[in-house]
Amino acid sequence: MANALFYALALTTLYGGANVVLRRDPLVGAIHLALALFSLTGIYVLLGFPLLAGLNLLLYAGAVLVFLLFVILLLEPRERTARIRAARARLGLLVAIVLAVEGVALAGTLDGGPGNPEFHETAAATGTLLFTTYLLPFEASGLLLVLAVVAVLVLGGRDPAPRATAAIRPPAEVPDPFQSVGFPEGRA
Amino acid sequence: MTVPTSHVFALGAVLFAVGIAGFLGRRNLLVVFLSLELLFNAVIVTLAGAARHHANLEGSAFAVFVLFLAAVEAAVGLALLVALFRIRRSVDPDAMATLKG
Repeated sequence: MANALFYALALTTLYGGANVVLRRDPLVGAIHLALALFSLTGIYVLLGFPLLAGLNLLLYAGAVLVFLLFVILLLEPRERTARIRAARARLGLLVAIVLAVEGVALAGTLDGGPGNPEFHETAAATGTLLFTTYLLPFEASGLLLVLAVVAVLVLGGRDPAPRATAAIRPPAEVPDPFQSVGFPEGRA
Repeated sequence: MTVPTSHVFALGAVLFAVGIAGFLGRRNLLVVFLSLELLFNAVIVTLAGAARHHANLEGSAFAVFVLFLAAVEAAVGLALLVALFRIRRSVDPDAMATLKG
């Protein structure tokens, strides 16, 4: 039963992934990415990684995907679609086929069976590992997240340069010196 | 679940290949981003399969780090994309060739 569920989820994952790549409109692609991510969450649960499944659901399907959808919806449908260029598509397809064949062939050489089918990760065990052995990388990735927030704030703000130059330039409505003396316009 | 680890690895490999096809084959920065997310998830599923095969938690911890990096990449990358779109009004990566000699 669980095995059949794994293969079904693998199929929906690949279906979603293929549609991400093949659909012209990235909005449709993002919806299919959501399908792939939800299927992968089920696969993580089946493999025995409840913490990973939860984080995947929260971080990917929750945060990253909603953020992506916001950005995609900011753009007009005409602006966000681009035609598929044949030469580039051929390159991508060639590399993908080579990688897929190599990867599946390599996976086929591994005949260890299911390994440890009874293995189950717990959030407590992984958390302990993260806060003992991998404490430094964990804190470093926290710092990286803070830096990313700062970077996004800097990038997302309007460019301050035009305002700075506008302050140096004289204001547009300079009072006409001749008007103040009393000369009507055009008598200069 | 008694699915052999090789099948989990094969899923990861094919998902990575699909992501690479989109990453290299499409000339729409938004689709390139969506494909990047596919690549990250292919790596995570492979890590999860390996962690289960050897029954140790290192793969799980590593997958958490990959998730962190994916979040950082998505945030900074999308901010860059929006900033570039303001200047170029285009999602075509080939339109950003100002540095080309």
